[in-house]
Amino acid sequence: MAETYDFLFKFLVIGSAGTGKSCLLHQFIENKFKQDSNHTIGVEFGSRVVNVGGKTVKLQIWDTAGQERFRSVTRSYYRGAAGALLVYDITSRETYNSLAAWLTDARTLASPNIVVILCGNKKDLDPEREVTFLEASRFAQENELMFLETSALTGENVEEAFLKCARTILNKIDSGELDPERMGSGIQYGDASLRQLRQPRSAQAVTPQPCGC
Amino acid sequence: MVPSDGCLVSLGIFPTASHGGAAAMRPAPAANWWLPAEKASTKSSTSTMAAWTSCVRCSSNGSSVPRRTCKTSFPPIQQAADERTCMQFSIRRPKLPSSETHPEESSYRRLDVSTWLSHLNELGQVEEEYKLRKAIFFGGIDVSIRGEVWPFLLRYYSPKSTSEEREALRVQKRKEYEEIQQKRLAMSPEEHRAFWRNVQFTVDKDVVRTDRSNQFFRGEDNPNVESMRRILLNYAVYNPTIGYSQGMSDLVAPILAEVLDESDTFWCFVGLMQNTIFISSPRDEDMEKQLLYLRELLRLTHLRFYQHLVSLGEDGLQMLFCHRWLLLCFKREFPEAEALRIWEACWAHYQTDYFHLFICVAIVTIYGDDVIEQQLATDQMLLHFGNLAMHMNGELVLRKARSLLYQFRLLPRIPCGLHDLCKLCGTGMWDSGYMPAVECTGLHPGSESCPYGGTVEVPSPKAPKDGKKGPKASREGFGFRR
Repeated sequence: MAETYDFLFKFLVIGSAGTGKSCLLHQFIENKFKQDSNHTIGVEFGSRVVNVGGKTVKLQIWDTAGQERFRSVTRSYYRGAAGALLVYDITSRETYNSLAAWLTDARTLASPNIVVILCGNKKDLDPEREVTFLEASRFAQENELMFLETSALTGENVEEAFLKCARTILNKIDSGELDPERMGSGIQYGDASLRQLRQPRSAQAVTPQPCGC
Repeated sequence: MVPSDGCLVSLGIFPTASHGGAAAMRPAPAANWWLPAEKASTKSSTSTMAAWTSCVRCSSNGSSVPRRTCKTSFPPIQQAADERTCMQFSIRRPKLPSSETHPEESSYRRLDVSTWLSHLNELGQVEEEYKLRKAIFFGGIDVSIRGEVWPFLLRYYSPKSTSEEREALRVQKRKEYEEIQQKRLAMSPEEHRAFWRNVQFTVDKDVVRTDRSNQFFRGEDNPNVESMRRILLNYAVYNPTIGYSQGMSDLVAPILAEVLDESDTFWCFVGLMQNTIFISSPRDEDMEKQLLYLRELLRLTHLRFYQHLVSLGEDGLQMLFCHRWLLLCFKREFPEAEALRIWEACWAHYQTDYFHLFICVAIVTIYGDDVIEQQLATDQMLLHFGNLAMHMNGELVLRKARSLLYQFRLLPRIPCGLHDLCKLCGTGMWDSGYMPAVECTGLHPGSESCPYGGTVEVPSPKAPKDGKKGPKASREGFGFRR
């Protein structure tokens, strides 16, 4: 049942160069590790429909360069994001040190209410670890972030990270803390929603035939 | 959690739009450049195009879906874009009708050893630089002599230099390069910490993920990767204002793979960074300038696409989909062989320093019809063009871009916003002696009159109504009314 979903969330993946942002995205979308991945230039983009707490949610995930230079790009990139994966590399203190700056960007350029999950990526490289779990959890707590250590290589906690973020947004919608109809909320109603904000789409309402693909 | 099913079907061949015909190629003296193109006079039934469509309705055997059906299942109000899962993309190789090609298109062959040598006199000086650049612009350079010719295009070697002078230059420049490297290695611990954080940290990450599929950089501990790394680090020492920006490794790698020598490559790269405009500039204003010109050029050449961008507001006009094109000069949009042909055509600086913008317009013209027809939103456009990467026909795009430049130069008047596209770049710009009038189309804050001497004497451009003309109007291109 492609193209039917209750909500669409715009997600960002942010963090320093080489932390594995694109690989996390790729692992989440394709369920495999992206070998020979090259550094992202400009903006890339992926999406997947997931089922969270009985709701179908389409996650539209934006991925950009770790070394972003253009304010103009940054504005369009952050605009209207509902959630973000804030990524650092557990084997690189430098990437951990820049988290605060990334977080400030997300909260000022997207929305103060953006739901952020901190991801300590490259969990599989534990012997080379430079940032402890405890230290990062403390940072997460202080900044009101969710936190997981992930591995884009093995896939560990990758799906969980995206789903956890989506679940939190849904909870906030349920509790009224987030209003999907507010401009720039990063949330849109999808086709299957009871709330048809736009004209009904009869073409898509028909039972989809198997695609054979 | 239920991931949605992937869905890939291949679509049949659509009947395609006809193109702006021969009449559109000829400017009439009294023509207004903003008028929509004449109806196409050439039917091009063989031409094909790329298309996204939804497969919501596709049948299980993946048979072809008429375009109209696709459109109803993909309404413009569609919020979500994407769709690896649900949209289908088919690419066929379009052809350009001869009326849409540069009249000198077929006069040049690839520059091979013997033609290259014929451009040199007995001292090894390039006889007529303009002729050489023109030959490269049209024909490209044979792979076997790229390493020899690129240093001229990148202005490491002066075309006036003799073979002997070049040898002396190389020796001197090698020494200079070594001095730069010494400077880097002699940093104080404090300087080094800052350098590591601002430059080396990212360079180290990027060089090992640049062109690794290229034989030249393949494998563990490849010394060529180390060369690339040193070049980039040394460049950041040589030019600390620019330092290192992601994307530079993508630009330097092919040069190193052709030029081979580390010092020579370094100086070629220096030339590239100085003389090209699509450089991986770390500065906002450089990118803004490119986008500004591109928007103007699109307004002039492809009004419907421009209007679509306008309808999307600020995010649309940011043209996120083409940032990588500009930053890497199309390197990730085309297979390497084709991308490097595009590089050479841009580096030839033939009649414009901004040929890369004509390439952008060519891509949009050839592969952008669906964007307008399906009224794709900003994110959908990003996906549309993102998925075209490595599936576009580089030769075709180049040919179209050359023809766009040709038409641009025949315009009776150009808007003042594009004045800089016509700035003299070496010899040869407006070489026919014909100069277009400059027409003021914009506001110039802080200036009473148009700084380019443009005059205002025209009503605002009339937009062709979308959808009214159907696919026939989809490639108005440059329009001239007789």
